[in-house]
This record gives sequence, C-alpha cells and structure tokens, in this order.
Amino acid sequence: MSGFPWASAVVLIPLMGGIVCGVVPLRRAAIVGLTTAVATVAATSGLGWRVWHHGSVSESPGGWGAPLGIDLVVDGMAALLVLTTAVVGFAISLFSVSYYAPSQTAEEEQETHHQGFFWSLWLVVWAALNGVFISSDLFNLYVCLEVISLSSVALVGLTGTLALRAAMRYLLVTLCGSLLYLIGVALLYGGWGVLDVQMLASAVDQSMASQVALVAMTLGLALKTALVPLHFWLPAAHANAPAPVSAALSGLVIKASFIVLLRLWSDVFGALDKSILAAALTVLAMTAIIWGSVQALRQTRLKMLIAYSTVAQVGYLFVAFAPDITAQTDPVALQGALVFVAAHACAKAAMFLAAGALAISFGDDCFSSMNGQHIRLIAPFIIFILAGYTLIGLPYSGGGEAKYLLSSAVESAGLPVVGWAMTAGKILATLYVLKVLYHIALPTPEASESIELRRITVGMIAAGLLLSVVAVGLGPASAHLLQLLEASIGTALAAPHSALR
Amino acid sequence: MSTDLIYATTAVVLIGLGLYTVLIRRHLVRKLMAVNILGSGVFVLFIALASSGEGDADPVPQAMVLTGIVVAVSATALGLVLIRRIDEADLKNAELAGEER
Amino acid sequence: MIIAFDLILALTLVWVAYEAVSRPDLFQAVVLFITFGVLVSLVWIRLRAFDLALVEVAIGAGITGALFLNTLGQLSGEDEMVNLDGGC
Repeated sequence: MSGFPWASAVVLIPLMGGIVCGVVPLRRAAIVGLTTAVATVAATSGLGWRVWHHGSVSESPGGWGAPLGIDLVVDGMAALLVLTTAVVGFAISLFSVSYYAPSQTAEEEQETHHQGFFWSLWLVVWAALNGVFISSDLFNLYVCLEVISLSSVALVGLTGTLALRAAMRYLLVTLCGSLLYLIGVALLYGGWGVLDVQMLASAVDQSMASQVALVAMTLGLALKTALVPLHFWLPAAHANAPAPVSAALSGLVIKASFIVLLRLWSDVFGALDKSILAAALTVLAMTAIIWGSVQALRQTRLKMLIAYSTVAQVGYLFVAFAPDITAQTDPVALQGALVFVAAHACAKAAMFLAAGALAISFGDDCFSSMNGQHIRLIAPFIIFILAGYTLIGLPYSGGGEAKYLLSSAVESAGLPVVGWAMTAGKILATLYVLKVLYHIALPTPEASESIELRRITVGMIAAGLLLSVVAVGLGPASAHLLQLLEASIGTALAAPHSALR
Repeated sequence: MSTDLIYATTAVVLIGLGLYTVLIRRHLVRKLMAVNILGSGVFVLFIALASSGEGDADPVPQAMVLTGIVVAVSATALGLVLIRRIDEADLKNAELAGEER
Repeated sequence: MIIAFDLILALTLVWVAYEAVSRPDLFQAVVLFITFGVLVSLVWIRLRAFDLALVEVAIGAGITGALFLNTLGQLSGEDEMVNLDGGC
C-alpha cells in the first residue's frame, strides 16, 4: 500500500506536538498547541477522505505486520471516531487558548503557569485516543489506554484541593480497570498466543479461559467507562477539573474504554455466548439511565449536573449490548452506539465548555450565584439549548437519531422494558436541561444585585457553538455516518445492512 | 503440580488481595501499594500462562510485562505526587482553621 | 525439591504481600513492600524471565520503594475523608 501514511499521522502529529509543548517557553505553548490541533484535524480529514472513497485503510508502522508488529486498521468505525475526536479536540483547543490566556492578577498567574502542562498532556491524550481507535492489537490498546489514564489524571490534578482528591481516586480506579483488562489479555495470550483482534476473533472458543477473560475485561472497561454502580469516581473528577479538561474527559476519554469493549464484544468474543453478562449489563444500563438522570436533577452545581448527566448517558451506550441477551450482536445496536458516541461527545463537550465560560463570568458554577439578567449570557444559553436538544434525544438531532437506532434495536430483540427506561431517561433529561436553562436565563433571589460579569471571549463561544451545532447536525447527516460505518472489514457491522436506511 | 501452575495460582491470590485491599483500606499510600501488588499479580499471571513449561521462555510477553512495569512505576510516581500535594493542602487548611479560631 | 522451593516462595510472597497491606505501621509496610518486589524478581527467575528479574529489582523494588519511602518522610499525618461534591 502506497501513499501518505494518514493513520500513523493522526497519532504521531499530536504526540509530537505534545512533546514540543513540553519544551517550548510557556507563552509559546498555546501557539504550538493550536497549530498541532489544526495539523491533526487536517491529517484526520485526509484519513476520513481516504476511508470514505477507498474503504478501510491498514498500515504497519515500521514495516512489521501482525503478529510481530503492530497493525493500524482504520475501518469506517475508526474513521468516524477519529473524526469525532478531531472536531471535539479542535473545539477544546480553541477554547483553551483563551481559557489559559495570560492574565494580570496574581491569583490567575498560576493558571497561566499550568498551561504548558495542559497543552502537553492534552495533545498526548488526543494522540492516545486516536491510537485506541485505530489499533487492532490488544496490548497496544492497553498501552494507549494507560497513556490516556495517566495523562487524564494529571490533567484533573492541575487545580485545587478537591480536584487533587478526585484525581487520586480517579487514578486508583482507572489503574484497577486497566489491570483487570490486562488479566484478560494474559488469559487470551496464554490460550492462543496472539493478540491481534482479527486473529483472536477466529480463534477464541467457548473455553473457561475465554469466559474469564471476557468477564475480567468487561468489568475493567465498565469501571473505566463509569457504568453504574462503578461510576462513583466520575462526577467528582469530571466536575472539579478545569473546563476544557472536563470536556475532554466526559466527551472523549470515557468513550475510549467503551469502544475497546464494543470491539471486544463484536470481534474477539463474537462467537462466545454472552447472554448472562449482556443481561447484567442491560440491567445496569437501565439503572444508570434512571439513577444518573435523577442525581443530575438534584445537583446544586452546574458542572456536577453535567457530570451526572454523563453517568446517565453512559447507560445509553451500554444499551448496545442488550441484543446480546438473545445471543446475537445486532448491527443496528452497534450503529446506534457509534452515532451516540459521536453525538454525545460533541454535546457534552459543548456543555462543559459553556459551563466553563459561565463559571468565568460568575466566579463559580453554583446555580445559586447565577444571575440571568445579562445580554452576554445569550451565547452560553444558545449552546445549552442546542446541546440539550441533542442530549435529550429529540428528533432530527444526532442524539435523537442514535436513540432511535438503539430503541429499534432493543425492540427487535424483544426487550421493550429497555425502551421504557430510555423514554423515562428522555423525560428526566428534559427536566435537567430545563433546570440549567432556567438558572441561566432567570435572576435568582440570592444573586439579585447586579454583578460585574467577566469577559467571555469569542474563541470560547465559537468553540461551544461549533460543537453544539455539529451535535445537532449529526442527525440530518446520519445517513452519511451509517454509510461511512459500512466501510468496515471483519466487524459485525459489515454483515447485514441496516434495515433503517 | 508444575512451577507455572504454582505461580499462576499465587498470581490469582495476589490479584484478589490487591483488589480487596484497594477497596477496603482508607489510607491512600496503602491503596497505591495494593494497586502495585495487583499489578505484580497480573504480570506474574501473564508470564506463567504464556510459558510452555520447557525450552526458552517466550520473549513477547516478557517485553509486554516490561512495558507494564514501566507504566506501573509511572503511575505510582504520579500517585505519590498527588498524595503529597493532598497532604500539603490538608496541612494548609488545618493551619487556616487554627488561625480562624 | 525444586517444587518445594516454588511452594515456599509462593507462600512467602502471599504472606509478605498480606503483611505489607495490613501492618498498621506505614514504614514497616513499605519495607515489606520492597521485600515483596525482591521476591517477585525471584519468581521471574523461576519462570525463566531473567530480564524481568533485573528490571523488577531495579525498578519494581528499587525505584518504587525509594519513591514510597521518600513520600512517607514528607507526609504529616492521617488523611481525612472529604466530600468531593464541592460546597455551594
């Protein structure tokens, strides 16, 4: 295969950028960071164009093929994920330029000092996310997941005492999750002596070792994805991190472990009978949808509300495993989950960025200190309307399309109860989105005297608007997304076509 | 009973011990230690399962465990930095509380 | 004979690990943890992973142990449980 190595580029460019950001003077970090972001978006577009026109791409960096070397395989699914990461990543980078801009006050001087770390760590996370999406080797996936984990923990720990404790808890949890995953890798390697996803898919059988591997890996990755009741670490970590970090964590990082789990279930363990585990995951998914939404509704801080909303939305992701109860992976469920990942990544990142902008103007993100009588709040208000629209899953939005696919998948699998939980989740989501809009738009008694709003820059608003518009726009564009997803090889997605198209 | 089997069993016990401790112990240093023991258990399991019992050992899992050990040390260093900063912040808060009184 | 050695090493390893995480005194716990690292390197030798044995002694027991001891010297006291929700 000739031509430009697009697949390697989407990992190497942000990685290099991250390293450069670590050594340049602090004031240059933002310039290097934004340049790297633009270059990564360009490389990702190139890769997406390639996959769209010529089908899946596979590369072997260093000239070593599987099983000795590491193969990078970009099918339609991986292309959709790296493109989503590029959109969200670009918006987060754009937001961070003004968020970490040098400021006059001594208190914020320390914030400025952090920006060098921020850019290095964030670009490394971006590289490792792309690595997860395009790797087809179980151990390489482990390394990428660990790089994401450690960098994310460091990003969370950049500020405040609460964030430090949240970061520590996050570190312990995510390490346990990775090690549980590694137990599965050890069992699979011990059994079949290969780690390539496609090679394992044709080898794995009903043996005890593969059953234990499936359970350990599912448990570890569910822990990293924060499926209820393994979500206890998420709200504190996501809500206490700086705004762009929250956006990256909730929008992208939890998706990485979920995607690995999805690949394992549909490819490596495709032939295995997973009905009991699927039933357990489905019950947890329904619990997550209801319980997470109720908790979101009860929060007194905006970022905590958004974080609990993530707990609820993770439930929808795991609905994709429900059809496995009847011992067959449903391609419609997988398509639904992938469109959901893209839509939620954009919507949730937009919300966290808007929340960051609001926290800057009000001093904190407590609902009680918000005061709606100001024209400058119109932009965050619009972002929340658009992102909320798709997060709830209303028609003609990305989230709506994803939830439609998921609910038709569970319906055809004969599980109407899951559909009811999803509908209840929609109602609860409507309520908590309205709660946010209410607090932004209306003056609260406690904060009735007019306060001096600090400036929200154009870059911040543009980043949030871009994401929320894309999140909604994925709905009308979903036919194209499904077409892109079909550029798959070897996955369950390639088999029967969606009946919905 | 073979050497590999003995150590595979030991590894399973260590994994259980690590997971149990990280759940029930409250002190952060001990939790971090428990994660390290969990990690050692997983690494031993990896090598014990991969080894065929005779001849030269398979170099591929060894390279992977080597990577795993390096990752574990990085994670431990990060965790200890966080523990220190948490402790410093607690100390500062305690002093502030003392002054207010 | 060699199986007896394996069994003794395995049992010692589990015992040291258990002690390391349950001793009330943190300093003793760290010393036991370093011992644990050395014992793991013996396991690597028994599993014919000689490179790993070297790495384990240097990094697993050496660097990790030194980091733990160093941190222990700096800590002031017991940590307390804090509500991470943040006050409003």
